[in-house]
Amino acid sequence: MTDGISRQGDVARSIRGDVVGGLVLLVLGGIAAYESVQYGLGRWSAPGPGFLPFGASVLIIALALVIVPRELRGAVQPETGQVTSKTTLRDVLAVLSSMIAYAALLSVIGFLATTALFIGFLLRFVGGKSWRVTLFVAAAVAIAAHILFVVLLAVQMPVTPLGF
Amino acid sequence: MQWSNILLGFETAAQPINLLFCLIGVLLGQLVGILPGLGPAAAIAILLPVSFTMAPATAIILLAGIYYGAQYGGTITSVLLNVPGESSSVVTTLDGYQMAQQGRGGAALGIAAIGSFIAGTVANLVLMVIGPLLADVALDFGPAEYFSLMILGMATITIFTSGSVVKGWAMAAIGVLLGSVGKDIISGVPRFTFGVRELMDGIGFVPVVMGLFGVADVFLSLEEEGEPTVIKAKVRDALPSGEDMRRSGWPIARGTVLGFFLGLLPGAGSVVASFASYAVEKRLSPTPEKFGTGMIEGVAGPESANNAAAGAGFIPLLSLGIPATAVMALLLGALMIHGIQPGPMLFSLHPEIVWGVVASMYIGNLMLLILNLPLIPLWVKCVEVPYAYMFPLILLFCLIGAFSLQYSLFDVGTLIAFGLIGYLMKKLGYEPAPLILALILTPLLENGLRQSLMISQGSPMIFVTRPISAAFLFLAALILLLPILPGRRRFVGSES
Repeated sequence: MTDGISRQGDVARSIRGDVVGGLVLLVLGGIAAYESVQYGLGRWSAPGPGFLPFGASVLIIALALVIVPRELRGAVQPETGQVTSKTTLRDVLAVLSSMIAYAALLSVIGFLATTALFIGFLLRFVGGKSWRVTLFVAAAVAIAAHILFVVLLAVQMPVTPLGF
Repeated sequence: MQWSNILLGFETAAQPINLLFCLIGVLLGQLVGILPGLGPAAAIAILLPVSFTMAPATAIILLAGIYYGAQYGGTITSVLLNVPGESSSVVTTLDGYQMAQQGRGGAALGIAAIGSFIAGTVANLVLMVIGPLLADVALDFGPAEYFSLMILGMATITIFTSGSVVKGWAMAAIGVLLGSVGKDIISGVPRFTFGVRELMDGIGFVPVVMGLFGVADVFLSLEEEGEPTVIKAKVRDALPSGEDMRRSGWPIARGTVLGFFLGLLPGAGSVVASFASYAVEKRLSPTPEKFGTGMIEGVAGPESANNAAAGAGFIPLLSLGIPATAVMALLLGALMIHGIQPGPMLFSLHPEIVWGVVASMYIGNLMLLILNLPLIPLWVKCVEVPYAYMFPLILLFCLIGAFSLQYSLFDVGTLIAFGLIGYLMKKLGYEPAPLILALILTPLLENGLRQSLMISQGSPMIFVTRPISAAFLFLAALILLLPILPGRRRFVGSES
C-alpha cells in the first residue's frame, strides 16, 4: 500500500483531482438512485429490491456533497497529489492495452503464444530490457506457464489446434 | 475445549497433502511478505482460482498460510534492508534496521520470529477456546443483529484504513451498490445489469479484488522511479542473547494481548496493532528517547502484535462469518466458492475444515519459526529481482486467474476495468478495502435489513431495542466519533 505523501507544488492539481472524484461520485449516486427507484423501493414494512441500493445512493450523493465543497475551499490537506508524468502515463496505457490485447488474442492464437507476446512486450517496451533478454525471458515464462497451468494444474486455457 | 474436535483438526492438518500445502502456503507467504510490490491480499486473490481444484480444507490451509507467512516475511526486509515488505512491518524498520546496522540483525530477526511464534500460538489457543463459544452466542443472532454487526464492520474498516473517513464511507457505499448488482434474491428483479447477461449472477468479487489490489498496485509501482536503494546489513550473531530475551519478554506479552484485541475488531488488523504496540513500548520504556536507535523492544512488541492480530482476525471470520480485513474477506469468499456458508454454523457443520485450519496454523507457525533464519540468504536474493521482471508475472497471474474462474473473458474484462478504477481511486485518495468488505457483506447486510424491517412491520426501532444489536450500533457510532474527538490524532497516519 502506498501512503499519501503530498508535495506542496501539487496542491492545486490534487484539489482539482478531488473535485473530479467528488463529481464522479455525485453522478454515480444520481444514476444509482434513479435506477433503484425503478426497481421498486417497497414500503418500510416490506422493503423492495431498490430499498438498500437507494439508501446507498443517497449516502454517496450526501458524501459527494461534503467532499466537493470541502476540496473547493481547500480546507483539507490533500492526500493525493503525485503528478503523473508523461512517462508513467505512457507505461500505464501500455500495460492497460497489453492486457486488453491479451484477452483479445487468447482464443485466437492460444495461451502459449499470447503469453510470450505479452511478457515480451512488457519487458521490452515498459521494462526497457534488451531484445536478447526479452526474447529469452518471454519464451521461458511462456513455456513455464504452459507447464504449470495447462499440464500440472490442468487449467483449461485456450490452445491452438496444435495443442499449445 | 473440545478435545475430539481439536484431535480431528490435527488429523486433518497432518494429512500429507495438507502438510505440503501448509508448507507451500507459508513459504509463498514469506516470499510475498518480502516482495514490496505484492501484498498478501493480491497473492491470495491470484491463487484463489488455483485453490478451487483442491479440497476445501486444503485450499483454506494454503491461503491462510500465505497470510500469516507474510507477517514473518515482511519483517526480514524491514530489518535487513530498511524496506518494509508489508505495511504491518513498517514500524519494524525504525529499530530493526538500526539493530542490523549495529551487526545485530540476527538478534532482531530471531526475536521477531520468537515473538511472532508466541503471539501466533497464543492467538490460536484463544481462538480454539472462544471461537466455538462466540459461535454459540451468534446462533441466537437474528437479522437485526447481523445488520448491526455488518454496520460495525464497515465503520471500523473506514476508520482504520488510511485516508479520509468520508471517502472511506463513499467507498463502502459504492461496495454496497456493486454487491447489489444482479438478480435480487427475494424478488428476482435484476438490478444494475443494464441488459448484460453475465451480470445477472452479480459481479465476481475475485476479479474485482485482483484488479483493485494486484493490477492497480502494478500501475502505482510503475510510477516509483528507479529501484529502491538497498543497503545490505550482515547477519552475524544469528540468535538473540539471554539479555535480549529478558528485555523482550514483556514487550512480546503486551504486544500479543494488544494485537489480539485489535485483531478482533473488524477493520483494524495487524497494521494498526503493530503501530499501537510500538507506541505502548515507547511510552512504558524508561528510556523512550533511545527508540529508533536499535531498541529490541521496538522490534519484539510490534512483531508479536501483528501476528496476534493476524491470528485473532480468524475469530470473527470462523465464528460469525464476518471478515475483519480484506484478506479475511477473501478467505470468506474462498469458503463460499467451495459451497460452504461461513457463519455461526460453521463450527458444527464443518468441524474438519475449521479445526483443520486452526491446527494447520500451529504447524505453519512452527514451520515458519524453524525455516525463518536458514532461509534468510535466499529471501534477500529475491528482493534483488528487479521490478521489471516481476510486474509482467504479477499481471500474467492475474489474467490467468481471472480467466480460469469460469473460462470467461468477461471476468478478464472485469479485472482490467477494476485495475484501472483501483489505480484512479488510489490517485484520488480512495482506499479499496471498504469497497471490498462492503461488496462481500452486502448480501448478508441486505438480508438482515429487509428481514428485520419485515419482522418489525416497518419500524427501524428494531435495531436499537434489541440489546446486542443496539450494542453493535453504539460501538459503531463510538468508532465513527473517535477521530472527531479533540486531541485525538488518527494513529495510523500520524506515526508513519
